[in-house]
Amino acid sequence: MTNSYQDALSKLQQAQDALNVQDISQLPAPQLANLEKSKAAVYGEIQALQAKAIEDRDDLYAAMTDSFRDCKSDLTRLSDWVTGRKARDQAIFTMLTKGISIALSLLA
Amino acid sequence: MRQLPHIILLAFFLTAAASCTAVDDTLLSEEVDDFARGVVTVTALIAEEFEIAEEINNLGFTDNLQFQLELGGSPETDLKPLFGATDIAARQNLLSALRGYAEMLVAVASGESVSALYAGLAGTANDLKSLNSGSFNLSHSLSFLESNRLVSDVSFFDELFILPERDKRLLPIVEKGADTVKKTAILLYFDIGAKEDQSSKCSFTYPGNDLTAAMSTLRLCKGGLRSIVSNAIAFDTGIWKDRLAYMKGGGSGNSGGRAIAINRLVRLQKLGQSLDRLLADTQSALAAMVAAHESIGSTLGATQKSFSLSLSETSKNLIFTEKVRALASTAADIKTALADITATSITAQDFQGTPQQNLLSGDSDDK
Repeated sequence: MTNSYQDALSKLQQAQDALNVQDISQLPAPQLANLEKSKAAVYGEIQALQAKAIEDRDDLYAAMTDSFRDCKSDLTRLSDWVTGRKARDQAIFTMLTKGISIALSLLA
Repeated sequence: MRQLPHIILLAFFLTAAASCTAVDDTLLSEEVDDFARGVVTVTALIAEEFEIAEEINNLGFTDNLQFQLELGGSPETDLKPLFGATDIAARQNLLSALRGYAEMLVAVASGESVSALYAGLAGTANDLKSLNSGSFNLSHSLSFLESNRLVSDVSFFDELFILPERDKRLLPIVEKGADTVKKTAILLYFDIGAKEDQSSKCSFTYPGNDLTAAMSTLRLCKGGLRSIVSNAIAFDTGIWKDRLAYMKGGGSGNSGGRAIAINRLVRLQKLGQSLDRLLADTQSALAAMVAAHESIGSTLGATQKSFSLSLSETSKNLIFTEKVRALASTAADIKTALADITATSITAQDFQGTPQQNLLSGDSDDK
């Protein structure tokens, strides 16, 4: 699915919000490290979109930072980890799943 | 009873002073001096605000890096600055032009030679011609065409700088400079931006501001430096929230580490609030600067036509001066608060304590 820069910025902010509200107290260290890396990548992409000049916000979006492009594998690993949990545990990570899927939709 | 004539005289004087102010050269000279001092201060503060934004971005990067390393992750280690050298140079160029224009007014008002000043501004004037809208944060609230038009309008400083060489009268310079000063203030106002949408149109188009109207009517969409700073603060705050949540979940940490995290979390949020207020007040000071510049034009006009000015007209410069003084004081407090935060060295030992526990059942695949 194609996105304009304006759409992408909005989706990145939604992804950031979802990842930020996820309670991480029950996330093991390796997954938390992965999440912190992904959050930094999403943050960097939002800042790049806000700080860098975009001639037309309706132009077709392409990821601006290497960090965000490269975090696809981290997000996928996190998504796989949540999927591998039991149903009860998956429910705990609803916001994490939401944030990951929005971010991944921009990297499809 | 002997005091009665004095009281009557004083009452008459106060009434006259309240309704109008006589214009003389001293008043004019002071007004131009105050205006220039205010412009020099506000332009320096805007440059500092961009530096503060970079420092907060650096802080978030450092805190994220440290947390990831403590968690055993493999973080990205290359710091990405918010703004490129070209973008910073473009803003500095615009701020220099505004400052140079104000200093030129002082030179003309005091009868000093403007040749040396003009020589110093030649480079700035030349750089102004190469400015483009791409170096500023305008696309959140202005279309590409509007942005280009605005940036093109501010390059008119170039022509203002050469005016005193031909005619050392202040009034024509101020009259010709009015539009450029206002457009520059508007450009900087948009560049500073907004933390949240100020118009209901923002979700589908631009807010459609009338740039010839009063600056108080401007409505922006989320974006610009205020949004960037807000996001940088939220990012760093999020790291400390996650640290606390991780400690709560039994990940690691001790009471000392928890106290550090809480302290940092609170100080960051207070810093974010103060900084956004500073940026909003800077926008307000830019509007006051435009009004103060218009007031100089009114004073000059009154001098030529020998009529008096209303107190509200003469107070515009005072309002600008007062706003800038308050800004400088707030900015100094913010820099101190930021320096205190960045100077606080936090080590991994601060957060070592209870070992990592498996928090969910069946976590053998967590590695």
